[in-house]
Amino acid sequence: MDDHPFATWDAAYVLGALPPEDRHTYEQHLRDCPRCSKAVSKLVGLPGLLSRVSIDDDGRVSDDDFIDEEPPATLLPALLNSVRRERNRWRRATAAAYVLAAACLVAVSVWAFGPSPSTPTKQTPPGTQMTAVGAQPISAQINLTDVAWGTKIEIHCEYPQPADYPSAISFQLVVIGRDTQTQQVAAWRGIPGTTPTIAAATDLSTVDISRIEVRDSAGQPVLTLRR
Amino acid sequence: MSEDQAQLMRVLYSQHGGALWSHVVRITGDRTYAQDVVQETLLRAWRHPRVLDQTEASARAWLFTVARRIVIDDWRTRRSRVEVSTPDVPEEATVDQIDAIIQSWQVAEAVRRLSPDHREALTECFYRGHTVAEAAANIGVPVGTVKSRCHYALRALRLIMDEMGVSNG
Repeated sequence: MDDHPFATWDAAYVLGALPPEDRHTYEQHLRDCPRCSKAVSKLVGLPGLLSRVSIDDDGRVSDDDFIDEEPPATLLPALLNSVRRERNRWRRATAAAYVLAAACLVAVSVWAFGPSPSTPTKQTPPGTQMTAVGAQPISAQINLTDVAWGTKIEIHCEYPQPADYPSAISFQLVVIGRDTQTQQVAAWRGIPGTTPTIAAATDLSTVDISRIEVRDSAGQPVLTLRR
Repeated sequence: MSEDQAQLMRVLYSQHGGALWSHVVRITGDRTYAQDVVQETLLRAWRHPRVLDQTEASARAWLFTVARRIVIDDWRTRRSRVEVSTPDVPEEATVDQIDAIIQSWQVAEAVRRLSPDHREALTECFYRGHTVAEAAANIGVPVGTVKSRCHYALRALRLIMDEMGVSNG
């Protein structure tokens, strides 16, 4: 490209800055040079866009009736108020969902999540199904509970029992924060035919969790939950 | 925790509040209404903090797109409520006006981001209407340099505009 004598003429041509004799020479050249024609065709829309703005003698760029002003002083306090309100609403909604879920659980049945001695089942909201990444030897539902110190995590696993299921395969539960930090919060072996509930915890609040993954022993995600 | 959330909003506000405000005032021409639009836009960004993971230009393009959506949706809602009585401007005209304002802003922003050399070549050869030879004399560099500065300036512009999501052209 660099040894091509006309390689950098495209812009000057499109901007209309070539003197007549150069323009004529370049247009002759364009007929025979697909590369330069292509370069020009990529630039043809730019002058139209550029004409929407102007540059003054001091080099200041402005578009027509450009406005540059500070927002009113009331804006940030109003925003912080909205943030607070929304947080509270979210907390109330979560609490309401849990109460509702608990009621449903009492009304329906208990076996779905397996009895867990430390946590009375009626307080456990129904889990969210994690999404399988390909065909996997595990399926799981997960519960997140926002608590003062972070998030309580419970994962309810099921392992199908195909003939070729390895007798014991290891899994890790990994929490990925919105700030992209990664925490391994649990590790366990999968035993086909069992349906264990595994408890884990993180210091991240539920709102700060962007993703939760179950990974195999090689560190590959097998189940995922996006939030 | 809620302090973090408030902090996130403060960061959003300090990075984008001024530009978003100026922009929304332009597309709405109404400072009272602009407050609602800017609030709603920043709240949406606050709910999707990944917006901030992008470059500043992309984040701003996202915010402007959201603000545009809000203004157009509000406009349509109001219009359907008012019904026939007013001699209405055709809907697409308003949408086009808003888009044209957004596009001009994006172009100005893209030109501002050019390096001083590139912007100078562009100013000479396009905004002042000089030929490459006149520009070369004014700037004090060879003609070939002016040509190549224009060449690289337009390429850089293309890239910046693509990143900002400038439509057509």
